[in-house]
Amino acid sequence: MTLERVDGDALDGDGPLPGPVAGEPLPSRADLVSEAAPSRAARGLRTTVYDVYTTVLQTGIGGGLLLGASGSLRSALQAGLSSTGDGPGLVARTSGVLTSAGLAVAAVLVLLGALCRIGPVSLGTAPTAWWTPLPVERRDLLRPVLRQRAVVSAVVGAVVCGWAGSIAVGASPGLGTGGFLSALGGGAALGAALGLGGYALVTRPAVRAGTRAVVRTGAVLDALALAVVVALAASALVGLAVDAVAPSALVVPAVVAVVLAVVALVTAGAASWRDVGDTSAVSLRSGAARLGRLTSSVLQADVRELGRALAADATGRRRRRRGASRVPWASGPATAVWSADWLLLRRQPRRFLTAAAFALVPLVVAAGTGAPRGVLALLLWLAGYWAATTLSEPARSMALVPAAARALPVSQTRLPLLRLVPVAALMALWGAIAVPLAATTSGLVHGETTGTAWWAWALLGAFAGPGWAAAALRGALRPDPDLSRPSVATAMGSLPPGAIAAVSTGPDLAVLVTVPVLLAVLSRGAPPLLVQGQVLASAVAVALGWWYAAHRARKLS
Amino acid sequence: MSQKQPKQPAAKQTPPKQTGAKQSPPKQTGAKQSPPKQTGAKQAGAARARRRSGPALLELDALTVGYTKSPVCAPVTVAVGAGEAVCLVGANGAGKSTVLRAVAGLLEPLGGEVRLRGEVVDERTVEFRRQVACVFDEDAWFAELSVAEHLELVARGHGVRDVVAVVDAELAAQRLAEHADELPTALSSGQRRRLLLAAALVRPRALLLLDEPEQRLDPTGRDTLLERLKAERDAGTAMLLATHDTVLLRGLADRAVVIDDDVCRVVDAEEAARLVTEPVAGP
Repeated sequence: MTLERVDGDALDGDGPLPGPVAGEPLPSRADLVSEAAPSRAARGLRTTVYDVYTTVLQTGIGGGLLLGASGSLRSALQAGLSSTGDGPGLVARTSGVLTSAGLAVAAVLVLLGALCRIGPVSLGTAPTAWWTPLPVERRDLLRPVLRQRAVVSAVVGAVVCGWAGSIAVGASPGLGTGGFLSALGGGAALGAALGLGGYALVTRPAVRAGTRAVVRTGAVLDALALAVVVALAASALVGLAVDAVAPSALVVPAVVAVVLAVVALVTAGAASWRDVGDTSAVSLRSGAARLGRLTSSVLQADVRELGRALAADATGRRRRRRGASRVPWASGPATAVWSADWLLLRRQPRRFLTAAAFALVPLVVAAGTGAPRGVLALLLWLAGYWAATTLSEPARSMALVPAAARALPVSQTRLPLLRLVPVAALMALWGAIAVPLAATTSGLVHGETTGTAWWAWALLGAFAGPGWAAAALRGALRPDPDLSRPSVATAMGSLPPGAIAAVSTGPDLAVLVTVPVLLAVLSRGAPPLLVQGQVLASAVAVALGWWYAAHRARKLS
Repeated sequence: MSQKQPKQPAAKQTPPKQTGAKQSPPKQTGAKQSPPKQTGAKQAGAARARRRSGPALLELDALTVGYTKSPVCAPVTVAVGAGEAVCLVGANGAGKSTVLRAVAGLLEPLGGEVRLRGEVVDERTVEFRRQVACVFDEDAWFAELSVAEHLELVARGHGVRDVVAVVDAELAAQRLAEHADELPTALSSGQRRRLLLAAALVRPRALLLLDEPEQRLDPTGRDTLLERLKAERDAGTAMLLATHDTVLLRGLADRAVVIDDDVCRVVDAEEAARLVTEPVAGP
């Protein structure tokens, strides 16, 4: 068979390889797909109707849930603000608007950081494999992706900031519909500008540099988000009281912010667009691999893998001095396990930062919004579990490669306990700091009397910490959804069987651990009886978490 | 890299575990602390024969393996003594790896028993993990640890003394010294295979389970593998390995088990090598 060029000239074996003809423009992606697209896009009426129906239904349900949650939160905040006088908190409250805006900005930064790590200009795995070797003009190839992700970034920013604005300002008593809509619109506009500008900024390293630069940019965005949370917490802790900001006062800062964001957007966007044609194939492939990992984890409802995909780090060499010991402190099976876990955490320092941020969130929310005590307990439950989860990454990674742990002379029963000990110690410290801080800013600390003193709350948190660590260990080894059986149709889309059980394994144990904390928050004190209850709850959680991990590890083998 | 490091004679590439372990498994210590001198094949063979005269280290007694209650091959019965290498041979899909996984305690047998030093194996116990080193076709790395750190951690976990020297020697033997500070995921598939072997050889062991260890190795790597495994066997380590490689069979195996649907029979190494090279009948 004779190979022919598209222009009909036969190729002989000694001739040059086919390529773009000098002087002729590169074919565009649109030209190349013009014939293939109609056949691929052939969809029956039934499929189209079903897709539209599913999209409308899911959007409606999601929007309804969001609005319902907003209304409940707003009412709770109004109740909290109106009752701020009954709690003599040691720290003055900051502005709810400031807090909500800060948390919204932090959330957008975290999302942008995640987008950065995924690869802001990456194609899917199959398009990358297909298009990258072809002589297609790269800017033309990437235009649809850039357009799509810019829109998604703007929409996500608008939703997050608009939601936060509507809750924070909308909770102010006596606010009319106009003021509420202004807050909603202003927040959304700010969020959209932030999302769009941020996307243009994170696109730049993906275009100009390699994977490491992209990961570094993601780390910078994470650090910025943490800095926002720390600043909010610091303002609360030093007693920086900011009077409630009237919606009208937001106009000037909002205009300035939007102008700055637009300038940043135009500048960064123009620079990125200028260079996008030079995006390297390596960068595209790397982004495609990450995107593929992310997509498959979402399809499988595998939140552990999703977390790994979103938190993927750059790989590199570990420089060591020749002849020097790399892990000199390990001198037996137990210390070898602890060394492996410690090295993993030390090389992912953002895990410590994330745990610290989770410790500050209840404090910030309590100080900024006067959140009701039920919300505070809910936040402590979530923050405690997530902080423990982020510190339990060694156990989560070992669930993927159980053979590595089998290389050490440690029994399957003892191994989970060894894994649990350092995380439990860290979480005891975390609880001893986070719980009394949140209690303080909620006005639950009253001098030195038993049950309401700072140290009583610290004791409660310290005993809750190991329980949260055990819950995270249980969550690290939870079963994956069963993908061998047909999906289950739910109102929120198709889910693999066991998805709900998989997601709830871990948080369920954290609920048990948080019950004494909840009772203490609701009863405005941590008497010795509740502290004893906390010890018992955490002991039960540790036993259950340990048993579950030892049992599950057998199946994972 | 290999040009910088002069190739050592096989006898000098004896595994660095001989530097001593704090908790050497019984029976293994004596043999390994005084490795037989390579004065001749006959002497080595005679030494192995003496060691094999003792009780079997590993016994497979009518072991039936499979998935979803369906056996993949006929029951396997064989005993492996210290200083003895037994190969599992058979066509692709015959069940060699499944047998090895059952021996390693990773798969519940459908019937029969696997005994290590007379006790039914339980992979979860510290005794099993201390004595048995596995090289299977799966990556097994501690996350975020470099090649050298991984080896050092495994060695320290097993109480090996003079760890740095041991690890460096093993890295040199496996031609991984230049990659010591890289993450295992950055290595090629053949280099990762050599790292798996290094991780098994850097620690004390009484029994080595290897699933087609020659896979993905270059010719030099295969030569090194053969010499290292011969040294292991001569030093008293029992070995059960699945392989298709006739060089490994002829150079290493004392016996072989032919895994088949009808009957699993024990043959000598030469017969096994002949069977491996025979064309497999089509369906």
